[in-house]
Order: sequence, then C-alpha cells, then structure tokens
Amino acid sequence: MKPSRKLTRDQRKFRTALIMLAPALIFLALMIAFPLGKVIHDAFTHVHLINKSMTGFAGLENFKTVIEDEHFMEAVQHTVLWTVFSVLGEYVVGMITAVLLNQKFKGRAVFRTFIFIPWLVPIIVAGMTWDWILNPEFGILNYVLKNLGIIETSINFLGNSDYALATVIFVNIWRSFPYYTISFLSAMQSIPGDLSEAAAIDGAGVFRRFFSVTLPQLRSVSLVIVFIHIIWTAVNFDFIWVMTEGGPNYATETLPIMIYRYSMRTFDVGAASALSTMMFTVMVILFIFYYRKRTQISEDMA
Amino acid sequence: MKKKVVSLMLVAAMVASLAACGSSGSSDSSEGGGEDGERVVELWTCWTEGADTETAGLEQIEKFEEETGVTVNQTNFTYDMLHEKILTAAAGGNVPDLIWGLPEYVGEFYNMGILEDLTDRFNEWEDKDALSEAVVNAMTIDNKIVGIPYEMTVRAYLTHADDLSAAGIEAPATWEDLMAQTDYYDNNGKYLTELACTGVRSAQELVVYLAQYDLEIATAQDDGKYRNTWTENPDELEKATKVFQMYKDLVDNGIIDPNCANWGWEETDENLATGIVSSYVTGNWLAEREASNPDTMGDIAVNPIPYPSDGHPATYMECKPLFILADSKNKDDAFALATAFCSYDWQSAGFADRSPRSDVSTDSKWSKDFQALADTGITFPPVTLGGITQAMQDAMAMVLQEGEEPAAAAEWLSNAVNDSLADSGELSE
Amino acid sequence: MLNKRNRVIAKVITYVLLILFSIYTMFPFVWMLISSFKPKTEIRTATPSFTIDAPTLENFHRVLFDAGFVNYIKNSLIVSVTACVISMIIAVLAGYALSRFYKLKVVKVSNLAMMLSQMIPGVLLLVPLYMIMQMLGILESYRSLILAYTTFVIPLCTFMMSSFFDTVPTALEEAAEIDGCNRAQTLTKVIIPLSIPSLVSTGLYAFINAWNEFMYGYIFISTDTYRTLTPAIMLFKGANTIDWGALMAGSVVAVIPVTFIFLFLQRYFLAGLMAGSVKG
Repeated sequence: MKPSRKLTRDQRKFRTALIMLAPALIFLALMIAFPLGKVIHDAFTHVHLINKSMTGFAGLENFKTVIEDEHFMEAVQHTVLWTVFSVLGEYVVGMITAVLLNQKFKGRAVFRTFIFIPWLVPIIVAGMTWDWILNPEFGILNYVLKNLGIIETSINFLGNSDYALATVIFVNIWRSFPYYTISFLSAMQSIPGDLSEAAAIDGAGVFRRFFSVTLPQLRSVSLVIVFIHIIWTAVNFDFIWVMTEGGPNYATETLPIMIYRYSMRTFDVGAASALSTMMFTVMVILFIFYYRKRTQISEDMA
Repeated sequence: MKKKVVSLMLVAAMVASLAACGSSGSSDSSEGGGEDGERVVELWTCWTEGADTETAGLEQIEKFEEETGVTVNQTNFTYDMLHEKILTAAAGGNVPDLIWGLPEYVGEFYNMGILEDLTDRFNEWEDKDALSEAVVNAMTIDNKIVGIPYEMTVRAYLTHADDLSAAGIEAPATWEDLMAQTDYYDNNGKYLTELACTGVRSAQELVVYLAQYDLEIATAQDDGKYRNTWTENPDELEKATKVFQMYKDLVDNGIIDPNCANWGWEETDENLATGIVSSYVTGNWLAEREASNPDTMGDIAVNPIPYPSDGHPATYMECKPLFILADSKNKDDAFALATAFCSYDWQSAGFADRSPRSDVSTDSKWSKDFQALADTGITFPPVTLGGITQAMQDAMAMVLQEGEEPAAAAEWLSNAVNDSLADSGELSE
Repeated sequence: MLNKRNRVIAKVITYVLLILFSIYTMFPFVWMLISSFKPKTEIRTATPSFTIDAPTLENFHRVLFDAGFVNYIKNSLIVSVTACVISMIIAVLAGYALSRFYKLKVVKVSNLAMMLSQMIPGVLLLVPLYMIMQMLGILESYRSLILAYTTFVIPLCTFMMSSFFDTVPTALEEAAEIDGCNRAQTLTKVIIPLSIPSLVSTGLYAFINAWNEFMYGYIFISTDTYRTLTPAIMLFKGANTIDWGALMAGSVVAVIPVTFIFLFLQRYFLAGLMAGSVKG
C-alpha cells in the first residue's frame, strides 16, 4: 500500500458508515451486549442472592437445576402454545381487519382508529382492565354473558386452569393485532390496483382474488411481522405477570415468568441466567432459519 | 402546512429534551447536598394512596422534620414493588435508609445480610416497654432485633351477622361446625365461607390452620437452622393431612365455592365486603370498606377463627417491621424516625385500630375485638419464605385442583419446604 | 364484475364485521372510561352496570391532585419525548448507513447485532441494567430511563428508517453532491425533508414505547420526583385494597395523550410503518 494522506474512496465510505453507526452501536454495546455478557457468565457460575455459600464456577449445574425443575417442561409447552396461538390469532384477525379496511367506504378512518386503539394502551393498564372485566364475581363480561343466557354460571376466566392460558392469549391478541392490521394495510395499498382489477375482469371472486393476488404480495411483510412477533411474544413478561402471575397453579407459567421467579422469588440468579441463555440460544436458531427464508424470498422476488 | 406542524413538534421536542437535561443536572447538585451537613433520611412506605394512614403519616413526617431538622425523602410503593426494588437495590448496594416491610421479609432480608442489627439501639429506647413480648419476638431473629414495629394486626373470623341469623345459625366456632353446614348454599343462595388459595394470603391462612394443631412449617433446630419435621413424625404428618383434608372437605361438601381454588385476597376480601359470601377470615383493614360498601358491611361481627375440636384456637399475627438497612448512611436519624413511627402520637393518629403498642387502641370492634384474639397469635418462622409460601400454594393446588390425596400433599409440602430451605442455605442437616 | 346487489351485501358485511371488531377493541377502553367516572359506592358492586347513577370527577381529582399525577405526566412526557428525539437522530444515522453502505462488513455485522438484540427477554436484563445505571450514577434521574428506552427501540427504528431510505433514489444524492454538498449537507438538506412521514412514525413508535413501559420505570426510579405514569398507576393496587376508581382514572389519564397524538399523526404513521414493515 502506498503511503497516502488522502483516504481511498472505500476507506472514506468505511469511515462515514462507522461514524453514522457509532451512536447506535455504543448504546447497544453498553445496554445490551454488556449485560448479556454478564448473564451468560452468570449462567455458568453459582450466584445466589441469599445463600452466600454458593459461589464459584458451576459448570452446567445451573442448566441442570432448570431442566430438572418440575415445572420446566410445562413452561416450555406453555411458551410454545402462548407464542403460536397468539401470533396465529393476531395474524388472522389482523389480516381480516386489513382486508375490510382496504375497501372504500364511509367511516373508514373512524374504524381504522377504533381498531388501532388497543396498541396504544400500556400493557399494565390493558392487563388490569381485562382482569377486572373478566372477574367471575363482579366483572362485566360474565354479567353480560349470563344476562344474554349464553352461560349459566360465571366462568373464572383467569382463575380456572382450563381457561387461563386461552384467556391471556385472547387478551394478548386484542392488544397486538392492530400492528398487523396497519402493516398489512400499508402493504396492500402498495399493491398495484390494476393487478386486482385484472383478476376481477378475469372473473375471479373475492376469495380467489385475495388468495391469488393479495396474499402472495404480502409474503414479505408477513414473514417479517410474524418473525418479529414470535420473538416479542415468546420473551414477553409483563402481560402474563400483570394478569395471572403465571397462575393458577402454573397454568400460564411461561419461560420469562420462570426466569423472573428464579431471580426475584427464589433468588437463584445462576439458574435464571442459565434459563435466559437457553432461551436466547433458541431464539438465535430461529433467527437463522428466518434469515435463510428471507434471503430466499428476496431472491425469488428479484 | 404539514411540514410546519411537524417541524414545530420537533422544535418543541428539542426544547423539552434540553429542559430534561437541565433538570436532571440540577438533581445532582441536590444529591451532593448531603455533604454540607444536611441530614437526610430516605424512607420507603407502602400505605394505600389517599387512606387515613397516609394523611396522618405525612403530617407526622412534617412534625418530625420540624423537631429534628432532618429532611425525610419519602416515597410510596406497593409491597410487591418495594420488595422487588429492595432486591435489585441490594444487589447493586444502593439502598434507602428506612423501609416499611412485611413480616415475610424478615428472614429473607436478614439472610441477605442487608438489615442493620438494632438490638443496642432498641435496648436504649425509652419507649420499648409499650411493646408486648410477642411483638418484640416478631422483630427478633437470631437473638437480634432487626425491626421496629409500625403496625400489628391479627386475623379474625368476620361474619355477616344478618346472614347467619337469617339462616338461623350461630357463628361456627370449630371446623366441625363449619362442616355441618352442608345445605347452607342451597338454603341461602350464597356460600357460608371462603378460603384464599393463591397469593400471600393463602399461605397466611394455611399457617394458622397448621398452628391450630401445633404444627410449624419450619421448626428451629439446635444448630440454629430450620427444617420441616413432618415426614419424620407420623403424628405431625397425620395432623398436616387433616388440615388439607379440611380444605378438601369444605369444597367437596359445598361449604365454600369451588372457584376459591384460584382466589387471592383481592377476590376473597371483595366477596366478603360486597356480601357475596357470609363469612371470611381476614383483617381489620376491612373497616375501610364500611365507607365504600355501606349496604353490605353494616352487620359484620368479629369472631375467633374456627379451630378443630382436637386442636386449639390460633390466629395469624401480622406484625409489620420498619427496617433500617445495613448500608444506610444515616442510621441514627433513621432510628429516630422509626421510633417516631412507633410513638404514641403517631400510632394514635395513623394506626389507632392496629397498633403494636399495648397503650393504643380504640373502642370499635375493629380494634377491641381483634385485640382480644392477639394472645393466640402465631407468625411465620424467620426463614427465607419466597420458596416456602410458593410450595404452600402448590400443595393447596394439588389438593383442590389436581385431585391429589391430602396425605400426598402434606408429604410433598414437607419435602418441598426442606428443599427450599436447602436452596437458601438454612436447612438443618 | 360485482353486480349491484352483491356490492350492497359486501358493504353490509364489511360494516357488520367492522362494528364487531370495534366492539372487541374499544370495549375495555369504554369500560375504563365509564368506571373512572363512577363513585366508590357504584364501582364495586355484585351487579356491574353501564350507566352511572351519580357520575363524579372524584376519581380524577384524587388521581391528578392528591396522588400527584400532574408531576408523573410531566415526567413521562420528558422521558418519552427525549427518548423519542434521541432515537430518531440515532435511527436516521444508522438507518442511512444500513441502507447506503449495506455491502460493508461493519454494516452487516451491525445489522445482525440489532436483530439479535431483539431476542433477549427484558426481564433478564433487569438486574444487570440496574447495576450499570448505578455505575453510571444515573439511577433516580430521567437519564437512566431515557437511556434504556432509547436502546430498546433503536433496532426497530433503524430498520424503519433504513427501509425508507432504500426507496429514495441515489440519483438525488448524486445530484446534490455535484452541487457541492457533502454527506452531512445531503442528509440534512435532501434526505431528511423527504423522510418526514417515516421520521414521524419512527418517533411515534419510540414515544409510545417509552410512554407505556412499566418494569424499568419502577425498578430504576424510587422517588416521586422522577416517577413516571405507568408505575404510578400500579400504586392504586394497595396491600389490602384496590382502588379501582382511581386505577381506572389513572389509566384514562395515561391513555388519552397517546391517543390524541396518534389521531393527529395517524396518516404519517401509516405511511412510515409501511416503509418499515416491508423490510423489517
């Protein structure tokens, strides 16, 4: 390389890119990478807030504690159910509302606002309000259902282990689907109108048109939004905690709740970190699959 | 036009952010103020917003500040929030000076090593004789006094007298009396009584029923550590089984609502206050529901908690401590504030119905009738309770939700308690 | 082609379905609103009702003046607005780099790092982050919350901005360059004015996120002076009683501002989100 005062074009590019990325990277390094490093370190160390005799390198013992926990498999199962059904429900409701709102009619803007409201409500507010609405003794929902003759006795939605998980999923769908609606809506509006019209002239019905024209156009948005929500839902803690704290009798206990229990209830930070590390690893694997799929789709489209 | 609006917003945002930097900058200078000799006590409380305790508390704090020249920085939380915050704060070594606590925290905080030993200060305190021995014991762990009490309540069996007289029965005094009321629901359209089976309240109720048979959830051993001894004593295991059998029978015989398997205090207190159920074991904070539910709370009578006829009466004594934290930088003033809380004036103003002092009480049923039960009061053993109370709830769920046999639940609980003690390093081998 | 009758039927179905969905989405909101105007005696009864016998502002009065919500609103505003502004600035820079220099290794790695950062459960960073804040000496200040809230939205905001920049033809920049603008000038004079809708939606996302966050708000802040809205609402869930009236009034107070901001900026938000969600 010749010594030169002037930077090459590539070097200049590199420098500009680095300067522009620097603020973001500094934030991420300080607030995410560093604590994450600590968590991974703790996963292989004995860390207990109360039992001070537990110190030193732990090898895989923390992982063993977690896997041998009698509620572990149950929590994995709940996490999967919670994630899959939440995302599925959100997708379906989001898609239907987007299709409905993608037509021209009076009052469209009003309905769009109504539908988007839940996304603006803080999770704890949403959780507490639903908690109250669903209460078997003085909640409005049971009262209405009983008066309409749909049910005979009150259903303890959040307190009965048969209903609890389904109920929190239902409420989670309520809160999260508007994001899908809006994303689909925006994407649909970018679909060239003549595509759909052409199909209509060909005599395709509403459903045919939806499945053969609209849906394929939404493939890319769908992938992104579904993946991001799988992650967000799986790691979500506040919603379940506010409504059921993982109960009744562990019926809604998911892995993030378990992490919380380990660190804040039994004070075993090592086990909490081990479980976090496991979860993170699974997420990364999911991410790799997603990344491949996305590359494939963009190649298809190109 | 649109652009103007947006750029205006951005400008406003910038100004606001500058203001934020300005104000957070000034907070630093006030924090540094402590070095100028200003005496500050950081106090965390958990009173109910807007309740009389808060009003009285704020007045008394002001008085304390005037008399001593100490600045009290008071912040209010819920107990759950305070508990979590103390755990994170202690992990980071950055704690307030004085905090309200629950009796459940004594063992846990003591074992974490974050509590200041107040024994010497307590012994020099002139007002210490106003506290009964039971109260002082509740503040003591390892022969060290670690708390100053600010509130003491016991549980009583509250009944809607009108309901019971309409049904033509006396308030049940024993478990057997309760069990006899199998047709109460059919005749009166509501359940006779209820139980809390989740949350903090459920463990407190269970520990009372166990104590009525002289059972302890964890017993102190000679080596200063603890263990649950039920599985080693067939007699104890049998009694514990009877307690779980009682829970099961109450549900099976339709004396309590089967839904109660999932209830915590929010539901049970609410049901009693709104008259959905005829009786419940709870505390004298229900007094404030007389104002919010005047129609249904007028006929409440205070009774001892039903006990098994082969056992004896017992109730849960909840003696709430003020803790001074070991890392506090101003322990002298914190102790002064703690004792001010426990002074005659403050107690009369803020805790008249539920004072730990023997010289503060009122003539209402909420004070007098409850105090009468205090002699039979029991407390949790001073160990780390997080895992243990969870196990107690799990055991109830085994019986009421999973259909396990009471004997199996009792045995499981005994082992689970010892596992939890082992985790926290408090198990006697 | 749809004939007229079919079109009418389609319209009716659309309205019916949308009304049903609106009931689903709006009901808790409406119930919250009704409850917040109910006096103590009406709020907790065995038979709930949609009507209020004696509507009262007592709950709002208690919340705003006795419980100090005016101050909490101010705190939430300061924290959210600042976090929103900082994340917009960072996202514009990083998003631009992601869009224009995507071939560079450093950019690819940053992109990956941002995606991975989305996969960490927030609960587990609680204690480590608390310790970092303490090391920095910024617990009990707005800065701890601003720092945390900014970090959590940086990845998504960056993606939103970068996918928008992807749609801006490079020819524009080249033209500006020929006119003698450097990169910074190009960005501020040419690109930013074009990206107002995306900026608004990015900012709004950051704002709502910060406004609604709960857990860090209550772990980092222990004094009334800096307490934000969401932890304050939880205070009405007392030890032995829940003040539902005040809780609902507090919730209404927390929801109203975001709702209005959203109503006002709705159009931009949709446009911006569209750009963001296509790439992600």
